[in-house]
Amino acid sequence: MATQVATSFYNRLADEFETKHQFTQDTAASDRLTQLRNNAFSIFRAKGFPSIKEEDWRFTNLVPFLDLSFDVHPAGIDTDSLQQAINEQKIPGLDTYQLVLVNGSIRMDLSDLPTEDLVTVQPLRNIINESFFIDHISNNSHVGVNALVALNTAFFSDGYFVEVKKNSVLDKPLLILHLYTSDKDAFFQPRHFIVVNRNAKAEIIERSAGIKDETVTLTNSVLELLIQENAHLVHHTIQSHNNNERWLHYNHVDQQRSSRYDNFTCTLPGADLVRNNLEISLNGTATETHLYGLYLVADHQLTDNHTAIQHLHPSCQSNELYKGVIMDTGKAVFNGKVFVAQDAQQTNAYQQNNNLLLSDKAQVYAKPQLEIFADDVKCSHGCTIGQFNPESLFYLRSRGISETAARKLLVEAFAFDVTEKIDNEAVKQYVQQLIYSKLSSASVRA
Amino acid sequence: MPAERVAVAKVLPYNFTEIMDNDNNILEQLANSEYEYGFVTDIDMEIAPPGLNEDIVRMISAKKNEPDWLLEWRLKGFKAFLKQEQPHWQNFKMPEIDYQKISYYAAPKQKAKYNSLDEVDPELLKTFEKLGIPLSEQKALAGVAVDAVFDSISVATTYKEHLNKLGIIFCSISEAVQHHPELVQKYLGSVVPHSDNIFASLNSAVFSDGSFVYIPKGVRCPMELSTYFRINTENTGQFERTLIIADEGSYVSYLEGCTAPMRDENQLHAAVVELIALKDAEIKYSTVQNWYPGDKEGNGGIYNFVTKRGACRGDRSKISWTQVETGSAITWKYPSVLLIGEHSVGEFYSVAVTKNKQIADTGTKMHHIGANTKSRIISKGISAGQGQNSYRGLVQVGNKANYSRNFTQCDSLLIGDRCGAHTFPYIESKNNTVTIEHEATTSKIGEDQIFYLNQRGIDTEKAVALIVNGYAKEVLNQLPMEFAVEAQKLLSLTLEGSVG
Repeated sequence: MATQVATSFYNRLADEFETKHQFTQDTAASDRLTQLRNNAFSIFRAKGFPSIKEEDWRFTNLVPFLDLSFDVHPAGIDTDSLQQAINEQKIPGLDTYQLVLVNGSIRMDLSDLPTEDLVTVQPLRNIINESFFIDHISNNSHVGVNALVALNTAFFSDGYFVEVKKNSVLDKPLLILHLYTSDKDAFFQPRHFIVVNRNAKAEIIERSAGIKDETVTLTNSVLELLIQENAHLVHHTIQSHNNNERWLHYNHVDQQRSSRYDNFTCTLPGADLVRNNLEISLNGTATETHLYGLYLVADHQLTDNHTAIQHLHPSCQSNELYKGVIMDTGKAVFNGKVFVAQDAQQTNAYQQNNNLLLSDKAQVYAKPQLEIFADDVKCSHGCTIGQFNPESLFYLRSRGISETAARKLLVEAFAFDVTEKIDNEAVKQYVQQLIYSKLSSASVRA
Repeated sequence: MPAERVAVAKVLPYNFTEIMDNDNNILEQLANSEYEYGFVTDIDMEIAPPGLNEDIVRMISAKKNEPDWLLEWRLKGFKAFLKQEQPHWQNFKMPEIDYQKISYYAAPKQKAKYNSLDEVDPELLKTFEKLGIPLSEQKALAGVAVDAVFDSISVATTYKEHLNKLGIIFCSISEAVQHHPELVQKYLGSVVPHSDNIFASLNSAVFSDGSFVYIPKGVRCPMELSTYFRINTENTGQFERTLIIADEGSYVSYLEGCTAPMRDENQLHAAVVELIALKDAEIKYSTVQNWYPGDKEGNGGIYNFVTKRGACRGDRSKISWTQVETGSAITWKYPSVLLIGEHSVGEFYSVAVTKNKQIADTGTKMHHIGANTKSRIISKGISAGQGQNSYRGLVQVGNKANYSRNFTQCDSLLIGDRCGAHTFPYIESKNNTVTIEHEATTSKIGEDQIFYLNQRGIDTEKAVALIVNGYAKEVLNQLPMEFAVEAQKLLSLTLEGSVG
């Protein structure tokens, strides 16, 4: 308990758990599930909220973000605003299937889903008591080591379970919209699963938004992805938020033999706090993994990207490129871990992280990390922190471009290295346009 | 293009296919090669009873006839030591250290001061000769003044007179306490405070001896200063304290090298080195470390837990660390530089070799505090057998360190499939005018490279030695000439009958 952040919120959660109010009301919880939750909560109780004394949270102090009396049973869905929010979150010019969740629960009436032979979608609460589901969660070791995942496990009640059928290729992307709304400041803990079965291919775009500007939302979401043999998943996360939103994401990817996973995480200025944990376990040989990240941080925001790739089997490839632009008094944290086990010979692991600091009050903390136990590997990482090349700026200025425009252009060019990797043309255009619109002139100015 | 000056992390042009069978034999031999410098010198010793308490601290201080302020300082260090917990963030399993089983003071009984080497106990000289440090030869050959620390007491100081003429003070720290207390009091603990970390606190409390160097204003030290440390008595942890002060506009190059005799019991070595460079001064600190690494199973061997830190206090000052680490069961140190003065420069060059079950968790910290400061880090790790090699580094830029610049390169070479290479770089910037670059690669020796050399009549063992030496060249080049030769030999010797 020494490192635990003692907050009243922690105590409130403990009381909440004691009364077991949360889950006895919506499902008749099986004994195993109750047992699982009790274990998970005892882990959280012991660890508490992560503190800056923990290596993974050294630069991200959660305490200021837990200061409100968050409502753990949010109520008051404002139906009128939902449709408007959905329209705002849609990507122009892109035809997609659509899965809408409100406060972590699926709203079929607002969704437009693919046919059952391609993809099945069901609310997580339907399977929450199934033994295969409980087996899965019990066997997942990361629940044990991560306090926030444990907290989620203790409390989650709903989420989505998306399964892409064997051999099916999704004809258009699936857009998953997470909308959160509450009359009061609220704490959400959804839990989601994506399974991409053998030889299947899918593209999923995830977006989240808190609808009410005046209330603060804190979300601790856990998403587990299983990518079966030869399957291929392209996974976009576009995080364009408003202030008063605080996000803690934990995504765990389990990749089987010869599978491929492409992740694009774009974080634009907006949310007070975004913490992305992306953990990939390569549980088969000959897998391919691409992680592309872009983070733009402005105002007082804090964006923290933690990625971890576990190379456990031979002949796997991973490639990671994260770029960040930090403006105003923004703070960015990047931690990229690549672990290569002794059996993982012929591993190719590549990682690069570049940061552009645009203000004298901006901060960046980068920690690329390699842990290698095999000798027949090619592993490298590169990391830079810098600013504009004055010569590039001069070049543009000498051609009659104003300083602000020139700076904007250079930031875009910097981000282009990541956005150009997006295959989906409409998504690429959309992200680029978001970058341009979010770069306020004031932030870019020296 | 924006000029974040992308350091494209390079991939060494090695080939990553199966290594040849005879290579495997060589690897086995590497794992089998034994430490060559194991022997115990039999000289009468005065040893304090094992155990650590306030009385021992007082006893050490009294034995050394120290002034009150120093005793006070030692006691403060002892109190800080008691308050601290063992660190747990390191990348290896921390061995149990029973501080009560260590004897904190040992001194050769013949305590006479020598003016020439002839007066030194011949057995002691033999030890040095076995170590391949011919004091007498070095005197003549390279003009190296050697302040030899044999266990805890300095027994021979050469070239002292010549240095005296220039106003350079080069003596043991106990002597400095007696003759130059004002300097010691001013600078001791000013870079590594008594409460810095548990090992530094322990050292502050019980440091036995060490070297003291003061270079006066504007003096360029005409020779390489060097101290050979050597652990000799069983159960005597060594707690050296080195303090080097380069006054304005001066220059000094300091060499530290060590070998230790073979024994079974683990020995703790918790030294502290403090460097202070004032305006326009430059300090170059080179280390060749070849302490007893333990046997094949990892039994015995030295724990080398050292706190080394330099402060570039003045403008345009420079501190450069160069280290070649081949010994010790566990090497755990981060020679660091505080870049306080404007335009000051910090450098860190390191080669760390681990084989058998050796562990190295080493790297550097560069704190950019003043404007226009520069730092450069080149770290080359070589892991063989079951050795584990970690680079852990911090580059920190404060908001006043405008236009600062850092370049970091850390490469790892893996020999054998049971070793490990790890990198933990921390890169932190609060300044938008700085440029920081970091790159790291991990690879093994390519079959095609070995084949190329084989083809030209060079056997595999020599080929590997050649490749490893080439790999480490960038660092070895930084060493002073005599040391570079020794280091190169050491590197080949370490990997001899193994990989080269």
